[in-house]
Amino acid sequence: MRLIYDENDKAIAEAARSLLVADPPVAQIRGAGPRDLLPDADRWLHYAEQGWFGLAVAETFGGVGLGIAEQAVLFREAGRALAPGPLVATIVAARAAAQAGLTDLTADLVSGRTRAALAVGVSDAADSNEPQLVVDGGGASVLLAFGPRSLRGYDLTAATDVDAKEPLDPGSRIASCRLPAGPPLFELLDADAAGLRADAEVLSAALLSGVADGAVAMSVEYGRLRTQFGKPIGSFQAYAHRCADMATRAEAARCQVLFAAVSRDAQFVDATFNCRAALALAADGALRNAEDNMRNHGALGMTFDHDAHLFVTRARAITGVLGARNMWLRALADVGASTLAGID
Amino acid sequence: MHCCDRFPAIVAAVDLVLTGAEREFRDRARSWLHDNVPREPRPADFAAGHEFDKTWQRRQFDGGWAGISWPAEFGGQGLSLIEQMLWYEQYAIAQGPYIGTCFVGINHAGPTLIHNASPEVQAAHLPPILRGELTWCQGFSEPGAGSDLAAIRTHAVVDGDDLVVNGSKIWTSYAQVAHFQELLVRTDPGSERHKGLSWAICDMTAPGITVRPIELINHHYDLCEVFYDDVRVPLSNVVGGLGNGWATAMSTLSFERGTGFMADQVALARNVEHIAATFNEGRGSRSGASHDDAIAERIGLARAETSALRAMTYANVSESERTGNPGSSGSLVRLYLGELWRRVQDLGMDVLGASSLIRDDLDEFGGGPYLYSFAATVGGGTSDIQRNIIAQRVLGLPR
Repeated sequence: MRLIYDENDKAIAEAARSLLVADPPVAQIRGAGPRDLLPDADRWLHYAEQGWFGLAVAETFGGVGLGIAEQAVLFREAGRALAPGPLVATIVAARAAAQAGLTDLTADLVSGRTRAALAVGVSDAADSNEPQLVVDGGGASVLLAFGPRSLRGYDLTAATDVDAKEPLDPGSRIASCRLPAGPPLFELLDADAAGLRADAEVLSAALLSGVADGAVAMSVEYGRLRTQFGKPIGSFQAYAHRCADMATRAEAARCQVLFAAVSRDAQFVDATFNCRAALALAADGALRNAEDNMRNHGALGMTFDHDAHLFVTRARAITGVLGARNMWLRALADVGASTLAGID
Repeated sequence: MHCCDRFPAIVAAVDLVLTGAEREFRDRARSWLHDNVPREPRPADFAAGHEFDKTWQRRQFDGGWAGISWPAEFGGQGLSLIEQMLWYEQYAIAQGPYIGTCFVGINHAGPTLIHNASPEVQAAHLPPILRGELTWCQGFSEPGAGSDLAAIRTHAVVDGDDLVVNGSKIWTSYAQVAHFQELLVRTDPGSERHKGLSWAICDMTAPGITVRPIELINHHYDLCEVFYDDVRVPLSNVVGGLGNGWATAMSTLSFERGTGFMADQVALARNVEHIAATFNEGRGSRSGASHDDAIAERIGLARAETSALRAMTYANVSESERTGNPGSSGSLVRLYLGELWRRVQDLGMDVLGASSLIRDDLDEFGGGPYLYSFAATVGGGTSDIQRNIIAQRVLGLPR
């Protein structure tokens, strides 16, 4: 029963946090042109050297040999700091490539020599020559596309008609392209694909739970500093209760994310349910907290120079690639696993 | 494993995280509950329900399952909150009954006495609570002191070896059958707010006490008014020291808001699964697929939220085990539970459709439980009070 950080988790979180404080991602995002690679190549390599992409990859493939739980601990920090880049796609691609026996590709992803990107939504991209939306495709050699029962990896360097679009989220990059003809680099089916989909969901949820936390922290700080009617606005119940609800949503997301990650590593029968539940709650928590944080900042929140809007658009960017929320919820109503199962 | 037919995944969960001893405890609990959980439902009639509660508590005591995390010297099992949590999970899976009139003794008074009372008081009171022999009620709220508990005016003066109490309390659960009460009174006549209060054990049979049950919206009489007219309470019944009642009361509330919700959390999970099963059984026999989709999304969300509530409970239990007390972060769980409970009962009504118009107290969802669910955002401090606590004590926002 490990739902509070052990010493190892604390060390992972602390290292990530100090790296992100020393080199704040928001400064990178604000300093980059709209088409510049995010993060730049040097930073991506630096993250890789810190083990960011190998925590949940076996040592035989150049990884650290820990699990999704440790990766989630790290991603909560990355989400909180709004760290940009195809973090989820790269780790899922590394685990997928390892399962597919593509040793070199796994090692390249873990070591930061290349990246992976996600195709937007659930699609059977191989059967279609329609343009695909791709998130954070810059510097990526692999494009992941989840189908109803498959995960395919395509050679993104062979894509055609690449057309960069204006991103909603200043910290994300988005483009359309046509996939290369012919078979994908790899294809995983059924239980393998479902497991990797669960990885993508719980790791996205970890980022989102960090976003939800970050929005709470920003509102609490503003509630202490900003004065109106002669008092700090955080002393007014309208403001304080909104913050309390934000904190409760963030806590629910955090606990479900850690529980889901542990259950995925332990291969509980309800791991798929837990990961999707984590995604649903963390997506709600991140978006609603980010929106409430905007509201808490009044007109200031509407300005580009304030960071509040970056939480809103990042929450949308992370969730937007994983399909429609109502479909996640219907799947949660159908699955055989029960919320009564308890922990073993 | 008969009890798990409706929840096939329960029995298949993988044994990886619990220690061997914890798993062995869990399996023994499952087996005992399988053989001993009453087959008949808890009666809706108040007096019959009270008898049922006492008998069932005694059976748990005789089986060695009462007070799992209470010290062994008081008749408890001397185990950790993890075993307590495992017990509640197996209890819910086995469809164990609501704790009923034993609630205050087991969940509030017992833990408060364990942490604050003298050895003599502990020896006199704790074992009978576990045996189901002595029923307790709580005497905190007053007509003029609800959310603002520090505004209480019921007062007591010291006269010889006794306190002499005058005033009134309200929203007192099960006062009509209780033997003892956790009574918070103002013992320093000139005092204000949190100072000058005392927490005392009041014998509910003492002369001068009048109990008046209150009819609730579900026609139950769980809550009462209590009036005190020169009621004598021995000074030796003061727990935590004369004038130190606020600290003792906060200790009581930390259990109510902290670990006391473990049983509610698993009961709620069982409700959600029953609602989902009822919905899925009726699917296809109804018209209106888009209505079904909307309900399915709410069921999906309720299951996700119930799962998160369980994860929050595990995290809170882990933290309590590490630090020794539930802490104010229990208010996050309490708020989440109360609000989720309300939403789940709304959902149950919508799944039942026309039959929700019939009030049946024995069902887990539908009319009776729906009406009772409005208590979920009031009892133990309203949702807004929990939000105040979270804002000020967890987040550190200014007052």
